[in-house]
Order: sequence, then structure tokens, then C-alpha cells
Amino acid sequence: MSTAAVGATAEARVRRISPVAVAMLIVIAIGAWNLWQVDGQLSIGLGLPGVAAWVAWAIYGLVAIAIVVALQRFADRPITGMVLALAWGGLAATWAAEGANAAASTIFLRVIDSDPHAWLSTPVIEESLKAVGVLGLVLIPVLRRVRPLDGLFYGVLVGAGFQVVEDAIYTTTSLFQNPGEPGPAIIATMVMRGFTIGLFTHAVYTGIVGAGIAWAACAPSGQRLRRSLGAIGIFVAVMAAHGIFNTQDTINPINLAAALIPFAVLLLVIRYARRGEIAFLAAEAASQDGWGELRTDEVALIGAARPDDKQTRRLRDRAIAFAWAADRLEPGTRRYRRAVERLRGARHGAA
Amino acid sequence: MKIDSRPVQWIGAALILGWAGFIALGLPQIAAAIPNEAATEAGTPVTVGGVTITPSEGWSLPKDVSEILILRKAGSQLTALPPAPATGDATSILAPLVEPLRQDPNVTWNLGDPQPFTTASGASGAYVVALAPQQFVTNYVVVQDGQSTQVIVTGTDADWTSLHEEILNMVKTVAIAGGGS
Repeated sequence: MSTAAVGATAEARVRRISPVAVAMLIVIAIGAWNLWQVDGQLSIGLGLPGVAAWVAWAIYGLVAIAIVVALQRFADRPITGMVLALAWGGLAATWAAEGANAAASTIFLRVIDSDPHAWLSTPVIEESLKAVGVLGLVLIPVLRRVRPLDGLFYGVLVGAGFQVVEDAIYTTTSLFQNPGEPGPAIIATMVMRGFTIGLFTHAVYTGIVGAGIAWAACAPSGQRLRRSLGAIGIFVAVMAAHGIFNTQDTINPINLAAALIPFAVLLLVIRYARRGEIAFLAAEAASQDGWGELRTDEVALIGAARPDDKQTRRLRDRAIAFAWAADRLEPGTRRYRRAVERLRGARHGAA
Repeated sequence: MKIDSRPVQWIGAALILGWAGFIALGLPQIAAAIPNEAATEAGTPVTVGGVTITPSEGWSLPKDVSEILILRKAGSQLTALPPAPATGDATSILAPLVEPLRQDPNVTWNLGDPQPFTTASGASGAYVVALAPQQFVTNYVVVQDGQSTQVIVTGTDADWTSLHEEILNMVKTVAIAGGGS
């Protein structure tokens, strides 16, 4: 290959680097540095209890994220997108929200002599920061999966990253302010924030917002305004739920409702978005090269609302992955080839 | 316009940097720019964190401190800590509080003897003045009905010269919430 050709290829690669990705990485790096300077140093200063709190929440986070990733059976989403989502939620959004929530508290006290920041400004600050991360992920071309389920999935990861780091910071701050028995304190915080109502908050809220963002982003040209307004409405409703949740200091029917109703909504969104995804991809895939690999009866099975056996579900899931790859990525890429292999494997398994 | 077009990409990048920057850096700047001090009315009691004090003319109250009573005038600041169970009389409580000043390796403090006083409500108190070049720290302790509060006043030596009588008179108005009068 000539030097000129190498130069042209390198230039094309540089031109493909998304400014959105660069912007996200800058904020993530600043967030990581600042979190390390404040919360990292505080945790180290606490000694073993501080480190134990972070390790406990890291294990919790890894298990939770592994479950979420395993649940998205059919998808072939890039690992870079997942890592970026977690990093945005855990490092960028958490850092920005930490200082902003304190600043909002100060502003309220100085202006109105009372402090409603927990239920009034915190939902706006935290939900908007997380939503900006999902928006960024939707805009990065190589990660772009502009379907509601994609937005939902990235939203859940952003929210999960935020929640785990926020909970770890909360735990270490609590240990610092109330020195005593660190073990029971860490366990009590994990039960409260990780295994009861805390389980259904940030990841669920951002999952719903992410689905809304992607739903608007994939709108046909005639529906863009309507869907954009709809996404804004979803965002406002989620902020309201977050605000209601934050009005309560103990577990009671009000914050249980503010946590569990959105969780039920998320499950409904998954159900309907998945159905829409199948119809969309089946229609899209019919026009793609390579779709002829599937027989007509297999295409019909893929479009069925309720696949009646595990093998059909697997076939459908892999076909969706293939359809996504064929539709979104340039032929010849590694992921495209892998998707074709999966499809062939599914066909042979079904035969 | 397609989502992956360059203008959309640059707008997205600007949105991410702009919103994260505003939230993380802008809000704290706005908070810092809002005036913090609220003027108090001379002779009107102020209660924060379980301690009541009646300021004289010219003292202000920071609005964003809700747990500890803080008053400021000129270069001096008065801080009244929340009440705690009294472990002895005012003088005995005061002794360990000023000990760190005696052992300060960086500043040589000139510490006075404990001076007893009685508040307007009849509670007993004591204080110790610590002077160093261009600064002072005075620790007051008031004991009332089994509870005690520590009042720390800091400032420049000029403030102490002009305000020490006024400050002592204000400390004599201290009442601990829940305590008898």
C-alpha cells in the first residue's frame, strides 16, 4: 500500500472519530480524576472499611450488570458501548451530580431559607446528566442502535453505573461521619440501597428515559416532533417519580410506589419495545443481502408474537442480531461475519 | 438531517460538554456568587442547632448553615456548637478545650486565665482569651440544666479590641434549648 493510501486511510479513520465520543470521554476523565481526589482519598483515609465498602459495591455492581447483560439475549451490542455507558453513569454523572447537588442545596438556603433540593433539584440534576449520557451513546455512529430497546439497555447501564458509585460514596461518607462498627454499617447500607427499594431506582429511571430518547431518535420523518415531545414527557414523568421517591427518608408506601411503578413500566416498555423491534427488524431484514439465508417459514416464525419453543426463540434472537448487523454495519466487518455465522448455526440447529 | 451527520455530532458534543460543565462547574459558581449573609435584628433572639443567642447591632447570619449557630461581624466570627451533656462545671469543661492552643507548634498563643460569668438567665459560664499576633480565639462555655454549649469566637486582634465587651454581652444571652431559664 502506498504512503498516500496509508495517509488517506488514517485520515478517514480520524474523520470517523465521533466528537460526541470525545466529549463523553473528556467528561468521564475529569469525573474520574475528581472522584479520586475527593471520594477516593476519603476512602483510603478510612483504611480497610473504606476499601471494603468499595469492594462490596463493586461486586454488587458486577453481578447486577452481568444479569442485565445476560438478559439482553438477542442483542449484539458492542462492548465499548456498554463500558462507555457504565463509565458515564459511574464517573461522569456521579461526579457532576455530587457537586451540583451540594451547590443546589446552598442556593436554596441562601435564596429561600429552606432546602428542598433532595426532591426538587436533585431529580433534575441526576436524571438530566444520565439522560445526556444516553443521548451521547445514541449519537455515536459506531455504537448507534437507534431503537427503543437499545436506548433502554444503555439507559439501564448508565443508571446502574451511577447507582453503584453513588451508593459506594454514600457508604464511605457514612462511615466517615459515623465511625464505629464498619461491618454492620456497610451491610445495612447495602440492604437498604442495594437489595430493597434502592434496587429499582436509578437503573429503572434511566432505562425508561433511554427508551424514550431512542424512540424519538428512530422516529420516521413525519413523527419526529410528536415523539420528541413524547420523550420530553417521559423524562418529566421520570423526574417526578424520582422527586417523589426522594421526599421520603424511610421505606413507606409513597417511595415504594415511586420505585415499583416505574419498574413495572420498564417491564411493559421492554415487552412492547421488543415486539416492535421484531416487526421492525423483520421488515428491514427482508431487504438486506443475506436475508435469503432464511426460509420463508423461518421468517414467519421470527415474526410470531409468541414463539412456542426455545429453539424458535433462539433462531429469532439470532436472526435479529444478524438483521441488526446487516442493517447497521458495513459488510465485511468482524461483527457482520459473526452474525452470519450465528444465523447459519441457528438454521442448522433448527433443521 | 441524519443523526450521524457532522453538524449533529458537533451539536451533540457541545451539548454534552455544555450541560455537564454547567451542572458540575456552573452551579457551584452560582451558589458561591449568591450573597450568603442575612442581617440580624439587634435584640431579636436567633436560635440554630439548639442554641439561642441575642445579637447586638451589625451581626449577620450565614443562610446556608442550618445545624450550627454562626454569627459574623467585621472580621470576627462567633460559632455556638450544639449542646451536649455537661461533664462538669464551666471551668472544668473549658480546660481541655483550650489545651490544643497551648500545644500549638506553629503559633505562640498568649492564654489568659478562665474568667467566670453568669448569663442573663442565670446559667454559669466561663471563658478563656487566647491572643496571638493579629488574631484571637476566645472559647466560652455555658452550662445550663445539665447541658453545655461551647461558643468559639475568632477574628483579628483589632476586632477583639473593639468587640470583646459586645461579644461577652452577647454570650451572656446564650440559652440552651430545652434548658430552664
